[in-house]
Amino acid sequence: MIATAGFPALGTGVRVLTASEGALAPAVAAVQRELQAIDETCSRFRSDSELAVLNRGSGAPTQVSPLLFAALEAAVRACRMTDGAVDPTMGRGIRLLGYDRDFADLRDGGPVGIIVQPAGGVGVIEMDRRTLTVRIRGGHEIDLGAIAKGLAADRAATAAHAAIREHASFPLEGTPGEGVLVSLGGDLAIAGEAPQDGWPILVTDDHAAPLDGPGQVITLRSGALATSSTTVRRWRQGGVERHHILDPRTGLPAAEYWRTASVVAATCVDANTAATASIVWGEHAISWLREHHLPARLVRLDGAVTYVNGWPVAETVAA
Amino acid sequence: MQPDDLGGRAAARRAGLDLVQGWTWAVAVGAIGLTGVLGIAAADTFHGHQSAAAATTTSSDAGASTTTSGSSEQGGITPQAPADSTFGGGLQPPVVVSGGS
Repeated sequence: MIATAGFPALGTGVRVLTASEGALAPAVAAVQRELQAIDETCSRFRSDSELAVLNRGSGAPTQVSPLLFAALEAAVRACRMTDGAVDPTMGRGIRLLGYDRDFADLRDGGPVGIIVQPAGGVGVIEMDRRTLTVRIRGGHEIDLGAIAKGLAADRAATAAHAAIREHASFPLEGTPGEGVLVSLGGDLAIAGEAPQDGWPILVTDDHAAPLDGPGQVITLRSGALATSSTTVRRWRQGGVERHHILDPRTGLPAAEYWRTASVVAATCVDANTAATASIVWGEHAISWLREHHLPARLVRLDGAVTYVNGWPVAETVAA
Repeated sequence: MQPDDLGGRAAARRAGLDLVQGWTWAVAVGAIGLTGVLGIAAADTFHGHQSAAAATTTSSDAGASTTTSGSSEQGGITPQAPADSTFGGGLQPPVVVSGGS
């Protein structure tokens, strides 16, 4: 019997699912603790977050917490993995494009003149693991965006699973009902033993869609699934429509070849990295996903779907 | 000794010196060229190794500072693919949605 709970966090909707009713309470508590830590550390919208302090540092060496250092390392790794298609130094760029506060608070402020700034690349990030010191050169700002969300999902799922195992009813790995799935705005991480047939998931454009909405239903037993889409988080700036996935080469919203990219990987950080990069790359994403053995579902603007690397095709299409 | 004999011997001496100088230049140029060819062949045949310590330190784009990436996978960073058994079976009503946010 799958149990579920939901609450808002990190500017999006969170769902925690456990394979048994008794596991839900300890799982939710653990997830909330992890998300609180991520919010205080990695949020671009909180003036008191560690990331905000680092971005205001004017290039001065700044000592950071192990959590922010880990998030920056994950972001640097994602940038290198994608040859710069997912670049953490786009913080200033997306702020200049008008996405400078929680998405729910965005308004069209009328005509504006902006200077578009391409990403700086990971070369502008200096990190010393021994002293946990970070320096951002060249006036660039960090946006951990998708990476922080993926990292949060991975950490929350792991923490929830550990909390469930500490619970008296689930002392052993593989005990029936000890599995957990954490969804942060549609980016999912799984830990522990899944229900018998796996976790049934609707894959679609918008994570806020109803469970009986259009899309494809798949089941996952392990790993992680992330979806990036240009159909959500769109806003207008000076009468120009923007979306939130920037092309680091130009500093502007990526050209829309795929409207939605969903990728399964071992971790949510990698799934989210690959999904975001797929939107930026367009058609080239197919060969990269094949090369790295990542199952994916890519949806063109007209709704045509491309399945890659063993993503289930026929019998699971819901609508 | 007649003046003609002296002039002929001097000319022969100059010719001999010119010949030696020509051979010296030819050998020097040939040696430099051979060194270059052998160097290129050696570099192409025996690739170097990067130490583990060096693998965690990379040059910045400006070449003026260093960045510790925190990863020893430098140059070969790949995403972690899911397990083969990731996808489950059976048609069930969904319990959660994956979509853009």
